[in-house]
Amino acid sequence: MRPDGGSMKTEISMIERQQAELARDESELRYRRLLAATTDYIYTVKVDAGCASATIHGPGCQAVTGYSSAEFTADPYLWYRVIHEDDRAAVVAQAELILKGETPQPLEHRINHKQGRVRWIRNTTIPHHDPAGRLVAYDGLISDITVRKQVELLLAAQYAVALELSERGSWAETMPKVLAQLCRKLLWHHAVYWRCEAGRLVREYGVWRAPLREADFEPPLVGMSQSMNEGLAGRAAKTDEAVWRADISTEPALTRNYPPAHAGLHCGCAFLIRINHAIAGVVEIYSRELQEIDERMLATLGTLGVNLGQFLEQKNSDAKLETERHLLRTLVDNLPVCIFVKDTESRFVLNNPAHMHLLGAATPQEVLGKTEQDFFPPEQAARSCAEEEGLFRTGQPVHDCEEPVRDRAGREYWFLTTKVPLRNAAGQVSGLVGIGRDITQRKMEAQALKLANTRLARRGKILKTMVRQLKASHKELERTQLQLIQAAKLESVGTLAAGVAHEVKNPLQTMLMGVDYLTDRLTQPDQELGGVLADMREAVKRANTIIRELLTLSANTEFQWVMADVNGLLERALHLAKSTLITSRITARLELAPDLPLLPIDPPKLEQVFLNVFINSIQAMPHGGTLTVRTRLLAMSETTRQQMLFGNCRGDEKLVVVEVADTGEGLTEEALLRVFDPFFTTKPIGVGTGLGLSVARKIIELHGGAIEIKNAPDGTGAIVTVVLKT
Amino acid sequence: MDKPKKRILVVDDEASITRMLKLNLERTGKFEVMTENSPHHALTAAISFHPDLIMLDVLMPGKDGSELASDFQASPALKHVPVVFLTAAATKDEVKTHHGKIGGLPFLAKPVDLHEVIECLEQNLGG
Repeated sequence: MRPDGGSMKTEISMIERQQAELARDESELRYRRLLAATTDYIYTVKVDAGCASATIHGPGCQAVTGYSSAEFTADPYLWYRVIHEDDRAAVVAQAELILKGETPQPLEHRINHKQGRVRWIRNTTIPHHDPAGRLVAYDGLISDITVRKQVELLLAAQYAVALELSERGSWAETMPKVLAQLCRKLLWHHAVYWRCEAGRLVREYGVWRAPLREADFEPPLVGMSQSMNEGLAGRAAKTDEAVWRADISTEPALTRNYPPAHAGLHCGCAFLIRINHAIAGVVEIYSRELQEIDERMLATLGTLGVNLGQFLEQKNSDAKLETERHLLRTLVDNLPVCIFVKDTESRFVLNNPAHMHLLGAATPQEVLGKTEQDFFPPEQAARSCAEEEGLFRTGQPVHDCEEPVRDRAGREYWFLTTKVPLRNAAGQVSGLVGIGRDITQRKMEAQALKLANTRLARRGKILKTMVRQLKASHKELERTQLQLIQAAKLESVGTLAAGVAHEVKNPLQTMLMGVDYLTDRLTQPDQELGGVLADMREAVKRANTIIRELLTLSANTEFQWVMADVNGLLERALHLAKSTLITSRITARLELAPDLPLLPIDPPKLEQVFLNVFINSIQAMPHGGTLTVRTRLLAMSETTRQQMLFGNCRGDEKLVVVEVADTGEGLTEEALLRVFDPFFTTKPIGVGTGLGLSVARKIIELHGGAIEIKNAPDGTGAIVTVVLKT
Repeated sequence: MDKPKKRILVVDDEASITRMLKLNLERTGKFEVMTENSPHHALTAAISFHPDLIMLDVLMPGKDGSELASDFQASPALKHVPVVFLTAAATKDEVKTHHGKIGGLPFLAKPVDLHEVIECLEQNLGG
């Protein structure tokens, strides 16, 4: 029996039960709605005696796998086939753990969606035991984690690529690694890089992931190129954006020219690598599976493209910098000048080989961090240091400073040095660059030139003096030259005369004998005939005289040398001319020096000379006058004129000078030049032979003396001067 | 009684000279003169003529006076006959300087007048 309160309790209990059932129904309804709406689902595996005996898939399985619960129920092995073949082993291992009574960790793996695409799921298992603790069943909660997994893979790929780029290898080293990381992290199978070059795409690198083998595809593809419109890469380049296809096998036209596309590849994607918005290249990635590529992935690949572009730009820039650096280093190392860099403490930071050679160092280590004080004499180093302090203080360069340099070995050089401040990015002076050129050779040449100029100037002065002297002597030489010409003429006449004389004398002999004969035959005195014969005899004698004098001109004349007194000789010659003097009403005046030494002479020949000279002077005074004969002793240095006559005389020699002056009219310019010519005469025909003075000069010259004739400076006649050596 | 004439052989390639000397010398009545203009025939002429003195030109074509003088010296018949050279190759000054002798033999320098010739001949004929 239930108290009244009992019925009430029952009523309340019913209500509560009804409410509970209602609530349960609502909850179940909500649960079903939830199951239908979610991408997750639950499956239950019944276990009998440690083996899976039946599996029930919740209704959510269709949303995740594409297959219905009924299909799973009808095909007991469908669940296995749905698992991605690469992941089946892991799933089986998980199931075995549960059947062993363990509670394994949730497993993430791929499944093949009924529509062919790969999806990622998370499988969390919950075991159920009977009161005896035996495993009777386990539930599996399947969650579709495709989106999250794709993000994870992308992040992993992005991270791996970032790591590769941070390795700072070259483009050729890095790019294949990047492609490999893309394949590995994204679980795709082939990646290729096309370089954009001259409007075409050139296949540069390709990588392959198992089960595809590089050796099967790569060799024939090396150097392949295609146009900007071919393949996925070409399409991306053409449209200037990333392109993708879930299954390229459905578009034969797109992959016609790219053999690997026919090796079981399905999904393909191409994204651009840009440098400053320009396309530098295209990366293609391929998967053997059908893949879904969403906006997130495209955005990530776009970011990768930008990163790769920056890396490539950096590498290009590095290569350019390296080229420039190499060029600069080559220049610095090979220029034939000393180049060095110093810090603000004047310590060497860089030295080229030429400068190291000057410093006497074999390696840069011997120089780095040292100063000039370690290599040069103290005063030289101090001078350089002071110069550099000024440069650091003012920031002003020092240009073309010529300075003497002495190296370690004590050799001396001249250098032309320029030092310019070296500034850092902030514009502050951080050191200096020095360039020194060895100008020793130039300096020596300049000094030699200066010396040569000085010598030249001195020689110029000497030359001027010589020219002045030469000009002075030139006139004298001209005169001498004329005399020489006359002498040459005389020589030829003498040679001719010797030959002619013999031939002329025979006829003269006949004539003379003829005259003698006729004279003897003249029995009756006949004044006229006698006169004619006398003239003829005189003519023969004159002809003979001419011949004799001509012969004297020949060089073969023999001399009889004796030491004799010139004064006495002159007196004898004058005596021979005495009758002529009287006839011509001429007064002779002798001014003979008393101190004349005896001279080595041929007295008869010299008598002949002076007699000739006297006769000439007498004949120059047809109306009478005075003949002055003067002698004197002269030291060689006293007069230039006589020195010119005896150019080869010693300065201390003495000369005897004989002057014969007349008071006639003097000679014309022509006569002065020709007076010693043979046959030149100013006398009437028949009066002279024209050979007297020629013979006189010949004899004087054979005595080593000289003879000249000049008009008296006061115009009072002519003076014949004979100079004889003592 | 007149002195016998001295026999003078004149050898000179110039016929006018030998002719004039012959005329002049023979006119003096003191000399008998034979002339020869070819030096090659001079030795034969001398041997046949037996001269007391021979006047010899020096320069002659084919054979000169000094060679002829040697020939005369070599001939026993002529070796003592005095020789006077009459030459155009020497001057009167040279004759004077060498006292009328060259190489020990007397000579006259052409042109020479009759007086000098006779004086020279008489000197060398030994009176």
